[in-house]
Amino acid sequence: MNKIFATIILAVGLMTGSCSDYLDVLPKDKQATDMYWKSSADVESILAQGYSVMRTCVPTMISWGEVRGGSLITYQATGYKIQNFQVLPSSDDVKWDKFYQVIGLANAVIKYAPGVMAEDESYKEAQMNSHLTEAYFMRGLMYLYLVRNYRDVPLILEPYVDDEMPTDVAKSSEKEILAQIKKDVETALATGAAKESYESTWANKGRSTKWALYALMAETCLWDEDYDNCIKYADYLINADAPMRPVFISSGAQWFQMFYPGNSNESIFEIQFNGPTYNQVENSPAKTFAYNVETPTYMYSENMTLRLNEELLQNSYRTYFGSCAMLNGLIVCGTTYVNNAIVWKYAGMGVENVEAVRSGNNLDANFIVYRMADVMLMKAEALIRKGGVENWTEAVAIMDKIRERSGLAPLDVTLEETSELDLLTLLLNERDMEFAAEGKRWYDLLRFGKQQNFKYKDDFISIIMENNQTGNEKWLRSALQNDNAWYLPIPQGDIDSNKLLVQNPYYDVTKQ
Amino acid sequence: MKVLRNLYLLMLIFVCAACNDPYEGDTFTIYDVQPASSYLSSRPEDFSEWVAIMKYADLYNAVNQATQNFTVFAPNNKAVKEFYAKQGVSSIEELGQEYAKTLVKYHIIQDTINQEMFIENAGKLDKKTLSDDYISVSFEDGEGEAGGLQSVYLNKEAHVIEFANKVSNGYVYVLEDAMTPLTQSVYERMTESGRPYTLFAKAMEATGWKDSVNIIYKDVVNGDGEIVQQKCEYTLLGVTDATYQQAGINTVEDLAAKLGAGSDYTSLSNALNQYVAYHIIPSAADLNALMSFDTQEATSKMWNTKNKEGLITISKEEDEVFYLNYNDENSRCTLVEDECDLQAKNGYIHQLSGYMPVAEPEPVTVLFDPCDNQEIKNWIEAGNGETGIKYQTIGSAEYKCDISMLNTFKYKLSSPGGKYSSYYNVTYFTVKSNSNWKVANKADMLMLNLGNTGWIEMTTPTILKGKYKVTLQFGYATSMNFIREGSSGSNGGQMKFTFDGENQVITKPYMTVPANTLDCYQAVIYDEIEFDSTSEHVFKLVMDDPAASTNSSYRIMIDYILFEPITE
Repeated sequence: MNKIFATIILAVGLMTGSCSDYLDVLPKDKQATDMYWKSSADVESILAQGYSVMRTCVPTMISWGEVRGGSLITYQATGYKIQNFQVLPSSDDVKWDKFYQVIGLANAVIKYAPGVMAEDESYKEAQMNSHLTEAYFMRGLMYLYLVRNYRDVPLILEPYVDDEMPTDVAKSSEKEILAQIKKDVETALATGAAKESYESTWANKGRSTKWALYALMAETCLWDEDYDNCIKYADYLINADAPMRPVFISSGAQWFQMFYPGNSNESIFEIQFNGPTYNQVENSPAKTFAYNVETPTYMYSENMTLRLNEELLQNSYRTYFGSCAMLNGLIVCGTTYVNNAIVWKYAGMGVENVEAVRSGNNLDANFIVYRMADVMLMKAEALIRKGGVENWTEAVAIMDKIRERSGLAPLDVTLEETSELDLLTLLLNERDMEFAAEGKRWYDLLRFGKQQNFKYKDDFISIIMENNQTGNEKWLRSALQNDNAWYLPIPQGDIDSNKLLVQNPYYDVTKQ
Repeated sequence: MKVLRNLYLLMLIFVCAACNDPYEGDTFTIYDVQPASSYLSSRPEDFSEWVAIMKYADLYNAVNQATQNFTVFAPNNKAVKEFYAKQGVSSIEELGQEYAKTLVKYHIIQDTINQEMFIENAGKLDKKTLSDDYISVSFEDGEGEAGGLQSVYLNKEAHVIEFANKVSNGYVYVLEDAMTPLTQSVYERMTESGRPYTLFAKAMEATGWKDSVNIIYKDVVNGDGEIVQQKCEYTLLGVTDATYQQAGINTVEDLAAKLGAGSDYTSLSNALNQYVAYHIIPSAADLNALMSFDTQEATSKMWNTKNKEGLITISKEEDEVFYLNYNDENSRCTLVEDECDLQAKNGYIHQLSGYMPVAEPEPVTVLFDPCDNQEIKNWIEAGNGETGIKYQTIGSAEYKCDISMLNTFKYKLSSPGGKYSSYYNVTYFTVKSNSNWKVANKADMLMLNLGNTGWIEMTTPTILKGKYKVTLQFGYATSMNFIREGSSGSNGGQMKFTFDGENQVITKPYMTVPANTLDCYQAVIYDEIEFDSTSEHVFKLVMDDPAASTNSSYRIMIDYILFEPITE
């Protein structure tokens, strides 16, 4: 935990330590917060820092969100151990410091932005509240990533500015973390200050909006098995009529615009990268998925490649030069791993040409956190879980709407003869194909496996076993039986430095 | 400068200040990692019993050596007490010092195995224990809190409850059960009371194969004329009495009749004898090895048996099931996984789902890697070769081992003289990770330095009769450019190849290397060769290049020889 605080203090310290007179330097445990929080620009600056640190989280978001699900796989050292449930607490792959760094910055804004109004007369309450909504979103989103990956984590709600703050913090339960995220979103929305749009086009999708808060709430509620509220907040988006609302793109021909150029109408929140202006290509998914058939970082698994092939035969928009590309009438696969398709959606330039790929400063695809199809399918999942013919009919209609956009036939479902498991399987497949390589697959599967008291645990294990053929089959089957193994180990550095932090019991197998 | 002066002043104040030392009287440990035995002694509540056994076996200090690396599998006190109860004793003294030594050695591997390596794969660990045995790791299905790290077992007997505790000379794993040392042969284990292999065992006895698989060590003379002990390892593919009964076989005579065998069961040409031999693989292959293939893309592999003309094909088919002899309906069967990996001192016993008569499989690609060899493996694992060498393992550097003295290859050097003695005559070497040679099959190559007219013979695996294209994969280094170019007295690395003394070809594979770049390259040495019988073959390579005896950089490197069937 000291590491988390050290990171947070460093971030704040960097922005405060620009004075030249060394004799005015305050003791290290007394950061000069009152010297910093003077104007709205200071608040904006910390928020911008939060979004900036979020960019560095993207490669981790992809790895954590995908490889354990087995649709997207890697043979490279980073991620491979996570993929096969063999990662150790000492691995860099399980470090959470960047996520806590964003939380620290959000905590600082929440604590100090109100005080800035007294220092800067031009900083009005409405603007301050708007900034707070962004900070609540940031904090909530980061905790949602943490809770989905570690289950129980320390809940830090105060910025670390001096040694008065305890550095030994115990974990809070998954339930407590989820309650906090919901509370944050409700607090943010209660002021009515959450924006629907900004002056800059990129900011409509790159900064938190009312829409982003709705999406975060819908996903948090879905994770929390609070299906009614998931539907409620999803409907706030689906039924919105504000002029600058996100809108489900119904034209399949425009599907790829979500990825190139990005910031499409369908988008709700994207982590932004701008190569030409700011040289922001590092950590972009375009860099991670740069077109490379010889040594790709990630590839679709063999089974996923078969599923993609099936959709390709139906000329699906989301698949044909969407999720993957074609060459000489065949899906483009690796040269070494010839049965594994290459990810196209972050590499291509929006035309059906395998040579039209991003390069140089153009390797700056955004990472889409929420888009309308995602929220619609969240609602569909909640409706399936709630049950009842009416709900199931609506869920199937949502899935069909998304299929229709890609030019795919409606689902062949006779509700009288179908089961909850059948529908959830169809939904999982729909999400798998629509959001291929978007960092969501593992969480989709995890909800499937754990919800309603592990009702579908065996089916969850079967799906992963079918898709992940990179590891030892017996090991995978054994490890997946243990639901503690579904979560990452607490980083060893934090275990060593935070006396109250208790390791996930699954990984607590080494005494020295 | 002003800042520096202030800093000095500040430091002076700190030095001069008469502060109270809040840590006065406390002891600070600078180095708190102990060697393995001391570590175990530091946890008497868990290991006092095991420490007592180590001391009684006179191995306590040996495992504390700082100059050696160990992985110790330490049973806790509860495990030791249960082990005593199982053995019907109350102390280690009752089992005797020799037994104690075997027991302790059975729980130690002289190498470091970290947690990642330990759980990488189910199956036997690469390195043997100090008692010359393999230990196998298995992952059991668990319920609730079990599974994964909570369900790892050694030899399906000992539950691992702590992993890779770091000690100064290796790692300590903690076991909830002690492992019972292996002393019995595969035959003895197969015929233990309650085993379902009565009829198969009788067939082994009737054909005389019982005697072969009962041998655990045999004396052999190495190239230096010394008598050394060589372990004999086998894998038995057992057929249960119930399976025979399903096929209408109730006696050895029934089996012989079914196979059309005559009465001279001990004759190698007798069909029953060949049937039993067909169920013996001449190496210790656990289930994981049987279900592994040579390359990532391969879906089948052929296994030699003690039946010189009989090969078993193990393949993974579309239904994701591993089959033996899938293409021969009579012989096709599967491995009964829950009844496999029965371990013996000299190998494994696996159970088959069918009675598996000798199959007539279709020719398949055979990859002959001359370094994939039990004798070389034993030699390296016995501690020979450069420090750091690990058999079939990519290292951070290349590691060599002189294997000229082994019996594996028959070779003859040209007349002594010249400069060709810069390298060992026959060298095994493992490749390094930052070299193009890392693509070498199983991370190793055979380096030959025989001089002009020198030759080497090696025996191939059994190859099914038929026509094949034969390709040589070999290593090339930039210092061999003169061979590639045929300059400095070299005629281009000319070599003569024969199989069983026939089908001679004269070829220059190194002249096919397209550029002066270190890598592994392939050259076709036979566009087509026909083998009339299913058998092993003697492959002979004769050096036919004057520079082989004169140039100090001269050597050739063989990775493997590939036999690809030609279908007409």
